[in-house]
Amino acid sequence: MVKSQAPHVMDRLHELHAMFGAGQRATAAVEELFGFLGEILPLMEEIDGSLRESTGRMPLATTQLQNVTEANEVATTEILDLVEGARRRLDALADYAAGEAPAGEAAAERLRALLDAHLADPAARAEAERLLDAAHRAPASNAPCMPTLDEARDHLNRILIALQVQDITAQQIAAVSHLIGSIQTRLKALIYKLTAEEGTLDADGVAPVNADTFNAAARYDRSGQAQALADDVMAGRTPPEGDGPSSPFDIDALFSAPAPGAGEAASQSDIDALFGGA
Amino acid sequence: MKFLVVDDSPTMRRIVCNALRDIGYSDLVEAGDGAEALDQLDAAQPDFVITDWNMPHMNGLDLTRSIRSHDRHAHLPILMITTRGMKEDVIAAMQARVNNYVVKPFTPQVLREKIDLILKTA
Repeated sequence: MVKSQAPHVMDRLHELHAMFGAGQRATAAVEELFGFLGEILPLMEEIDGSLRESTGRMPLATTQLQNVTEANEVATTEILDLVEGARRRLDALADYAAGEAPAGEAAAERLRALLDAHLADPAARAEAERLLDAAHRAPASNAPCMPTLDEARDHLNRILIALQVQDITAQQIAAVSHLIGSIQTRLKALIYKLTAEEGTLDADGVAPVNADTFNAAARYDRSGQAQALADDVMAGRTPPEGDGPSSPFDIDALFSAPAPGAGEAASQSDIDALFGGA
Repeated sequence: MKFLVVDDSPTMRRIVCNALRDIGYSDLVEAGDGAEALDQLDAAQPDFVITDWNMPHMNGLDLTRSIRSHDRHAHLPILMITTRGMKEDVIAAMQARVNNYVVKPFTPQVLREKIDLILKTA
């Protein structure tokens, strides 16, 4: 029995030997893998901590941006109050200056008529005319005020035009807040993938910005080119080709669209280009 | 002539109203977004609408479309005043059937020109 089974047993021994050899090699590989994981784990923990810290700061960043917008609005409202008050006073002054001259003229004419009727003495009459001329010149001295008043009113109008910057910068800030929110959403998704802790960061989210309430491409441009372009389009003339629109959807698409090329990430210049290089 | 001024920024509404008063229009009502503006159409019966584009609840483009499909107010002149200055924006506004388009920041002179032009062709 033993002699006939010997080849079978030998085969099994060879197989066992091969398995032990493979096992030894696998053990070495597994040990190497454990060593690698041991090195990687602290790095992963550091990345996770850094991501959590960054996403945790984002609500504060958007709150600070909102504070800037609110402070601008308060200051602009105060300036508007002062400008409107100054315009009312200027208008009242202009009305007074414009009204004085005709009233003075009418009074002088009436006085001349009375003098003609009742003052015969030539010397007295001459003195009366001299006094009338001197008094008549006084209202006319208001005339040089009018250009000054017009200039002051024009300056106040230009202040009102410049105050439109508040609306424009508020939209630019809203666009930045929206971008921060988008970045935070993507970073949170990355943290969930690394740690499988889904939902733990929801309480620290950036307050969402309604994408319909701002124009990411808003500019404070006094050159008149934008209005000229709009006028050309409204009149049916062919305007020159310009930059593509930068909308909240472009900002979102930056993170959700397939990367161009092999896993190419968006660069800072790509993000800056969404804001027209501002 | 009564103007309905629609903008979610109180500052911009004041600036537009000041500019309108400068050029002789003082009968003014205001709304903070498109939805509020639609309510004002029946309540205030304006003769002219000046609207921003980017607003919560209902933006200026949707407001324009709603007015143009309204039973009684479809004929109202509409001037859009907005920060959106791209060609595509102006085309979209034209397709929604605004009467004219002003890009912020604007001057009272531009506002007067556009209003005069709209009233002349109305």
